[in-house]
Amino acid sequence: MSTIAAVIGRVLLAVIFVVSGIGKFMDVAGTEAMITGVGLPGGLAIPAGAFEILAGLALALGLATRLVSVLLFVFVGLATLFFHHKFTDPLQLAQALKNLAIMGGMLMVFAHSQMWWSWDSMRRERQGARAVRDVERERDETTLEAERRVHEAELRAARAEGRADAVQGVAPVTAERPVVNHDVEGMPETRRRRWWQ
Amino acid sequence: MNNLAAPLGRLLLSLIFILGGAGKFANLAGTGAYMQSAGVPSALALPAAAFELLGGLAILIGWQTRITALLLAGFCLLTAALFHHNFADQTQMIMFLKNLGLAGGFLTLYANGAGGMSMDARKGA
Repeated sequence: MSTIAAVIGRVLLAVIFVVSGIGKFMDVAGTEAMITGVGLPGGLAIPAGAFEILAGLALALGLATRLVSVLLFVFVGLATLFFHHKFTDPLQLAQALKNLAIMGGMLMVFAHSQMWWSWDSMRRERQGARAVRDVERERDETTLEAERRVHEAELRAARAEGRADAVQGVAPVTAERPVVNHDVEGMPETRRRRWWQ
Repeated sequence: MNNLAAPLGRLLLSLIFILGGAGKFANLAGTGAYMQSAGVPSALALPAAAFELLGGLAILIGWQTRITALLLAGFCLLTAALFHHNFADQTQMIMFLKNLGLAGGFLTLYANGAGGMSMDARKGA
């Protein structure tokens, strides 16, 4: 339940950035006029739009969540300072307060939910699984080596026994030795498991 | 760092509700008229104001954080649907999206719990 809420929360927080980033691309000239209108240098419309889209998508996916949430926190803070600073206008005040609350949401994402059901957490799980597998493979190889030594020692003992029998004139005992296919039975699975499997 | 970010985030999230609730109390008649104009009974002005104020304060001090955050997320989505559904107006659309973003912040808060400097943390809940 918490995981679902965290993911939905991240997506909802991301929607506004993706949508308004696309909006900036649809109306570059208008955005440019709005940005220069508050005294900022021109040429910022496209970088701002691109940043909003990319950061929004990264937030929704949970890609580099902590970094992205801090960047968006700063972005929203700057946008509030430049575009909604006339607090005497109730509409501007409402917008500024909502921006503050979205910044609060960014801090929430920063503080906790980077762990949950995101690209980052999937990558961490994958690294953990790989480490466990490496340890297991090493252990398997050690076990195999020990078994091989025991087997050789038995062979040497049997040959020595056979020589002793030959010296004493006893007919050699021949027995079918079961064929152990170490390639199939002894070797650990070495095929690498990929993250999409 | 997280123990600082969480209470600061709660403060920022709660601000709009505390101020909004207080503003509604200060102007109950105007709030009622505004709600009436959006097709919502004006009798709900007082409960809405009380809910915003108390919910905001609960988030701020981190009391019963998870359930309050879930309620406020629902409140954000509900008000977005009721008051900011006129997408032809770009400001309304932005307000709608911001409300969605707020709901997202509250859902994240619901998922994580209050974090540092909260009543919930003090109780060990």
